[in-house]
Amino acid sequence: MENLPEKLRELLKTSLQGGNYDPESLDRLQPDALLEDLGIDSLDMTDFFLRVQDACNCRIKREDFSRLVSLSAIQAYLEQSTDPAQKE
Amino acid sequence: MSFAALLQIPELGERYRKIKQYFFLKESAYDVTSACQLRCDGCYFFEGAKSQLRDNRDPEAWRSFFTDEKQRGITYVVLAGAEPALVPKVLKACYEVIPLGCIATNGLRAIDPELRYRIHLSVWGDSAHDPLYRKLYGGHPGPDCLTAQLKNYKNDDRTLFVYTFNHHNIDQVMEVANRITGEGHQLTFNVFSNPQHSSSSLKVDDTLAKIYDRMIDVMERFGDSVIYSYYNAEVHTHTKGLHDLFGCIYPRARQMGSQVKGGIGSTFRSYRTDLTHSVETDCCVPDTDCVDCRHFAAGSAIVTSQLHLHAETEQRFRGWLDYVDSYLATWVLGFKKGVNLYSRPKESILPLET
Repeated sequence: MENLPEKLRELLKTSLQGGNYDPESLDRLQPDALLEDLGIDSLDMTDFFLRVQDACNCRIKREDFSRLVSLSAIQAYLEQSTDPAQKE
Repeated sequence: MSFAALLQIPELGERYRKIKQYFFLKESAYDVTSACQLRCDGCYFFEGAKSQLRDNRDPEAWRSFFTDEKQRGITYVVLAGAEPALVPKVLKACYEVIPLGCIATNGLRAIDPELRYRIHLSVWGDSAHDPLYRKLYGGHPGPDCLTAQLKNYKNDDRTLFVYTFNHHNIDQVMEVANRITGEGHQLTFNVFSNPQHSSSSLKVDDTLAKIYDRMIDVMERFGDSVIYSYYNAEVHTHTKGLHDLFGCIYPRARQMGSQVKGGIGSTFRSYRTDLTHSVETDCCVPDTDCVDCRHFAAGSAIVTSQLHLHAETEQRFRGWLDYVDSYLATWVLGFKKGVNLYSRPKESILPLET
């Protein structure tokens, strides 16, 4: 996917729309910043991972959620995924 | 079907946007007193050691405690006991700090109408049998609680009656539903789950299919007066309990080896009457045998947390949306349940394979 870091940020903003989150803090979010420090609810995170799956045409396993703690971690996960079952 | 495609289906996207506004709810549970007028068969409060603790009865201590809970990030409280209506000053202290929540009560004493919490009134059987479950201290049959509940909460919009199905009371629900809906109230269902260290005669193992049928009968007969869905009925009457169907996210289960993470697993606590808690008992009804758990309270967290699993197909997602919609209507005062998006299936979609 082209411009993956920016795409992930956009998808995260989409997932958090309507929630009690500070839009400016999302704009300032550093790639290595822990997403839990934003106070993002786990269901909103699931929403985000589902949208990332759609956008990347890949599968993020439920058991991997807990280690995808930052935008950079998610980017690395997507880029390093070579398991044919994880890409559709 | 992709998640984006699911949300493009108008009624699904609309329902998802409706419930998504409540993803902020972070719940904990609080037993606020060990006092109760009754000793009911099947009551979990008097199972285990927690009923032996020394109550903290100081409303200001509770106020300070709830202030700390709010700072911890708790946005929703479940106040229970024994019988929380017997400590009105503690309830008021809580409400003045965290006003979103629910009180679980036997309804024999009215709760201050200024406390705009959801009020769950427990019902165990019809007028002939409820007294047999609701024993007075000493073992004598108690009152028909529903009569007192309907009197104490007449025209009270906070109330929701919770009928707990057990092995023996399945055919009693129609009389109860008629009385409740006849007074303009709503009801929902719970399913009895076996206590941890004993086997109760109330256990429902071989009557689950009958309970499912009766739930559907009541839903279809009383319409909007019943806060429930076909998927709720399917989940809570499956031969596998919640733990086997979906895993469990509560801290108690994680401490015992559950691999399900996220949700309220990191924030939920079940506080006892002395303001302490223990991770070994941090779940919604701690003295339950996890294998048999079908609690409606547990399902609210467990099923809701499984969005990922339910977004695999349209049918699963419809079920999940109905389930969460029903749970919010059950627990959040003023939340209105929508129409069911998931139809009664010819065959159950459970268990959900990954």
